[in-house]
Amino acid sequence: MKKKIILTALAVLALFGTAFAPAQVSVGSPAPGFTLPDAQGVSRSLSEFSGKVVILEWTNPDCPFVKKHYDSKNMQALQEKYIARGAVWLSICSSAPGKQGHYSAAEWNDILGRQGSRATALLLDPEGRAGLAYAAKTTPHMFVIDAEGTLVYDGAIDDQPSTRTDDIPGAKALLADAADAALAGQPVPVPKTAPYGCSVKY
Amino acid sequence: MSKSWSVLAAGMIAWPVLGAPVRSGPVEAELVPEVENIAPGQPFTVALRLKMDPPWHTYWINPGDSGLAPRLDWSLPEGFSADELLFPPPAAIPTPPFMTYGFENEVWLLSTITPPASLKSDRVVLKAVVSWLICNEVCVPGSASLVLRLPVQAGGAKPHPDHAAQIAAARARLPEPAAGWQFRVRYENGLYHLAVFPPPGYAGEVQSASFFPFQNDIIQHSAPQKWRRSAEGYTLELVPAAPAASPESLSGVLVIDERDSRRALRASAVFRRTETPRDLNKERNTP
Repeated sequence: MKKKIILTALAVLALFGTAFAPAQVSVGSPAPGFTLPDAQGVSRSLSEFSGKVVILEWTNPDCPFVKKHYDSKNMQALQEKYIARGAVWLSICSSAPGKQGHYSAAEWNDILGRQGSRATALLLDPEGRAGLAYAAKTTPHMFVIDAEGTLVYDGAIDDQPSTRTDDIPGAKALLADAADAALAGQPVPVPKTAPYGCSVKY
Repeated sequence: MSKSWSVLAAGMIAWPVLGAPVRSGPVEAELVPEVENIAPGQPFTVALRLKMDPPWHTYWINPGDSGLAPRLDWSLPEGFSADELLFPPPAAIPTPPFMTYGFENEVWLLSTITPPASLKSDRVVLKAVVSWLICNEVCVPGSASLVLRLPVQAGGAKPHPDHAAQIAAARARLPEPAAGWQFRVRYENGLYHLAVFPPPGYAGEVQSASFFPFQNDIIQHSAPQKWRRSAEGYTLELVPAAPAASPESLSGVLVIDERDSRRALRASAVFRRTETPRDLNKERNTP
């Protein structure tokens, strides 16, 4: 009986104490590692891309802020541009089962096709492990990891927190600036910005 | 709005003072004037009233970890100007494991409008587009076009029989300038310590307090805030956000709970240069 109570307490602690506490990630520190299945069911790890610049994009296809960047093709253009320049682009969905944006791998393949996503891979993170390791708050929330595996950008895709596609052309492209700097081996001019969007549906 | 519109509008007959509330999804939006009529050169307040179906919520100026504040874009007749939208203090609305700041049920946001002293027409039409993000489990953007028609009388603006009191109440909910209160902030042992000194002769007793920063990326919104009595006043402990930026100052709204009342104070304090985490990091890294 006592043992059962302790086990329950431990389980509760694991659920709310450990797993449900966002980490304090800081730019300039090593990027937290992760291993997650992609939409093809293949297990992918951050470590397999070492030596490359990696861009992480937290996503939820039903969030209006995500739709802003996909309906306008802004996100796909960024994916294409940076992959062509040798970067790796990982879209990550941390929506929990039953929450908005939670889809099976098969459903994700349809969504990616509809979106015309150019991402290297879409990773499924329904338990929110990678999301909480990076303290991903919004969709979209963008991160850039340099070729040495250091987190060099944590923040918004641009400086126009809105759901209007009209705001994209005049926006300051914060993520692109960070990715350009990382690919050039230069320090990122603005390494941390406030991400905007829907909450990640943990 | 163009001149021709005013002329055209002045020729019409039916002139309800108010624009009707507009319903869009879970939101009802309305412009509510404090006056029955306006007067040339005399500023007046208009409220943007947003009524939200439970459990939907909209957001404060700083939405916290996610979300977006509503926005009001005026189309005013020539010579009119509108001040920025003023927000009451928000409620902390958790989206575990993060935190947002916003409003549930109903919120009144205030804007002061100044007509030109040279105003000649006897009626004006004020138009605005309000856009918002409203969230529950999911988030939906929305917008509404709102119209307010008001007569002009050179003799002076007349308070609206119902709305003047409602707007006065909404104004009373806005954060106060904190006259006489003093704030200091320092960084120590991984925390920001916001020292709060009540005015001399303060007879109240602050039982608890919460701080809502104007800056989005200065504190961890979801971290508990610890309020305690100190030698000369009170201290609120705040957990800093990841120290990539070195903040110059901390400013926001401090909501204090006294024995039987709640007040919102505008609080601002400047960091001493060596007291921010980044500076401490620099010191550590410099031999």
